[in-house]
Amino acid sequence: MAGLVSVAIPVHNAARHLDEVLAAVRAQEVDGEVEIVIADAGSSDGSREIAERYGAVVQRIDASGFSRGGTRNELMQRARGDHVAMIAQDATPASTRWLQSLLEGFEQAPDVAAVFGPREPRPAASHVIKSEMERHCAVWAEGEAIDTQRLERTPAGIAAYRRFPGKLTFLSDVNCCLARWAWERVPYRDVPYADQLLGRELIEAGFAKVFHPDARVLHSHGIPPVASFKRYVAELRALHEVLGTVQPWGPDSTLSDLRGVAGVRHWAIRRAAAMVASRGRASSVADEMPRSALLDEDAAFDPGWPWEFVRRGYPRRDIRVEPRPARSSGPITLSWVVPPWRVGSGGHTAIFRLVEQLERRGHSCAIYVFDSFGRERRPAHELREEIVERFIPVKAPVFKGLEDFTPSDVCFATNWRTAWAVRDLPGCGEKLYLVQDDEPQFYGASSEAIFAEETYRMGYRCIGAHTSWMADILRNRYGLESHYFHCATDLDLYTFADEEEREPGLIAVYARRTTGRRAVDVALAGLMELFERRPGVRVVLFGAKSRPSVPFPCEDWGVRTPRELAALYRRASVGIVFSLTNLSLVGQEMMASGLPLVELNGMNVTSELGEPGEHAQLVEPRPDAVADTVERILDDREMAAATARRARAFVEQRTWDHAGDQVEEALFDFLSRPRELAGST
Amino acid sequence: MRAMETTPASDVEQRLVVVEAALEEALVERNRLWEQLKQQQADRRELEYLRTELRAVRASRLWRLAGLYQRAKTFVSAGLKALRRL
Repeated sequence: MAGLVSVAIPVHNAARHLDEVLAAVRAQEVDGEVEIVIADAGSSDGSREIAERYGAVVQRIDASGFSRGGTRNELMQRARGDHVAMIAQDATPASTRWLQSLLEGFEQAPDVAAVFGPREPRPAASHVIKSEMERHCAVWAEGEAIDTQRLERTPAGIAAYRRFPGKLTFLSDVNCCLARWAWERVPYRDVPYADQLLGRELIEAGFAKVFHPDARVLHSHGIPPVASFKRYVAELRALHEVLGTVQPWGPDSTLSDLRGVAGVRHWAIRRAAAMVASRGRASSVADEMPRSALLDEDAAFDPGWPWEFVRRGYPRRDIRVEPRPARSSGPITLSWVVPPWRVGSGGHTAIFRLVEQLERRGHSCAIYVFDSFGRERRPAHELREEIVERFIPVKAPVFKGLEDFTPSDVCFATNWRTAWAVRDLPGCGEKLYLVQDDEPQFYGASSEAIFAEETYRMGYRCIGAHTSWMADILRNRYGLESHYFHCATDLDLYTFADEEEREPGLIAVYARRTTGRRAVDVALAGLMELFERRPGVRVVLFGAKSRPSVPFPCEDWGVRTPRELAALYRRASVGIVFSLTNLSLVGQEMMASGLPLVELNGMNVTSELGEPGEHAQLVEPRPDAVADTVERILDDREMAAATARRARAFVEQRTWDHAGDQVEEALFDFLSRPRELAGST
Repeated sequence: MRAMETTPASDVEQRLVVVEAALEEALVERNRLWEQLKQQQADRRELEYLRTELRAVRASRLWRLAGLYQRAKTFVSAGLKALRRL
């Protein structure tokens, strides 16, 4: 980097070290001319003469006119170089490469506004000071490598900044170098801790800062207790005023401090200084010091805002696919990105069953848990154990997050949140969307509905679950290619029970009110109507952790095991499960058990179960209609038994083997027709 | 062109079968390696997790107190043994 480089030093009675400092500056091996600019605040010890001996441009100012920021701004104005190194009057460059190292820092990136280097203790400094300086430098790349600091303007980046602002903002004019273009935009402010504030403002303005381990200066003070106390007060006050840092106080911090310092006396001085410096604000500074909106303790800020993954998903872009040669057979590698689950989740049962089915057919799978809300605390290996023990044994390893994602032939998104994450994953031959329900309908008019519906515009190829209704929505409303598969039921668990095993008047109702699409209150209103007509009916609610508010006396079983539910389905005379979107697996389990089912009448249901009465009784969403239908089933047991037999035969055709075949067929259909997309890389 | 015309169809079919078998074999091997890689990654994550847990346990006050107790116990029992020998 050729050209003029300036070295600026504010001076006041600095004769003790100035000769050594300027000699070291003049000895620098650097491409280009070195200019020394000095602001002398009325020295009376010959400092000015020393400076002139080294060819410095000396500007005289009154001691009363000296100010931390103002004087440095004047030095910057007077200096002619594009880069101006600022050092203290007693900071001696430790090698002839000091200045060149500072300049190298600017080569790290075009937005580097400032470079700083380590301060090394002078040989006579105490071991306490040496130890403290070493620990300070270790913050940046262990003090051994070039480290670039830049504020990442994401929730996580801002949170990290708020936790440890000094890691990004630290800048000391004992040893730093400024780019003129940056100073012109963000000059020093005329406040006592001008250098620290400049560091903060440069970082918050979006510029980078660089630590260079070779840009070392020798700079340390002796530490008689009073001087040491004053120095700490000044340093810690600067941290408090500029960054809002409050030194912790309490048994934990005391213990950790005592471990970190090299002497108890030193610790006591530091602790006393911290008490003075970081409680309250210095009245002389409080009004002048500009506050940082990013560090404001009272700012409304939550780094855990869960929708960051959606925000990053815009602007709209095509799905990222790296098409591979067409294939219609052979083993394939599959990545499944799934949301966190609760035991018993129907959607996850289907996903893990399909994983197992495809593994049986010789394909290789890996499962990634995408937890945008950070609710899942367990490690991946425990999640895998739960899949194996509570769902179905699979071979696939499980990962939390997508850090370990490996390209695969096919990557599956399995709900709308995962669709955002999967869209941009690299290296996959095909991206498929396992759509188990029309999720935008879950939310009413809301942000979630917008975010969910957007995933249907990402260009996924889809495999819809359960009904042709779902696949038709994807095809007709969103123009997506879509296959579908039939969800299956565990026929060994949900065994068929004849009419004689059933308890007359016992009604089993899926009552998970938190799942709005189950229209639980429509069912309860219908049952209240029935209760008025037939006080003898016995209603059992199940499926919800919290006890629902019910207008008639009934039993609430809460969440039960599949085995207990199977027993209930074998004993009850009517089962009620409502589905406003797609179709509930619970209804299919009731049908497998021979329990006459009442469902809502809608395209989502009829597309799979056929006309009313064919496999289930389908009702309009009206309390009187629900009561009429349940009453009819309770009265006409022959009709109920005939429907139940047809329903069982219907469910028996829907095995997981069959579902596995359907999904494998869909996979090879898509893989045999690789696509070309504008966004493909 | 001439060569293609003279190559018997059965030869081409046979070569196709061989190549397809080789392709299938390569894909099986590819899947095996992919599975192995994924398993290694999962094992590494589990190891990292367990190491972190272990560090947390060792850094806990309870562990350190127990350590002090253990050392004191060892010291006392060693002392008692020495006394008995006397």
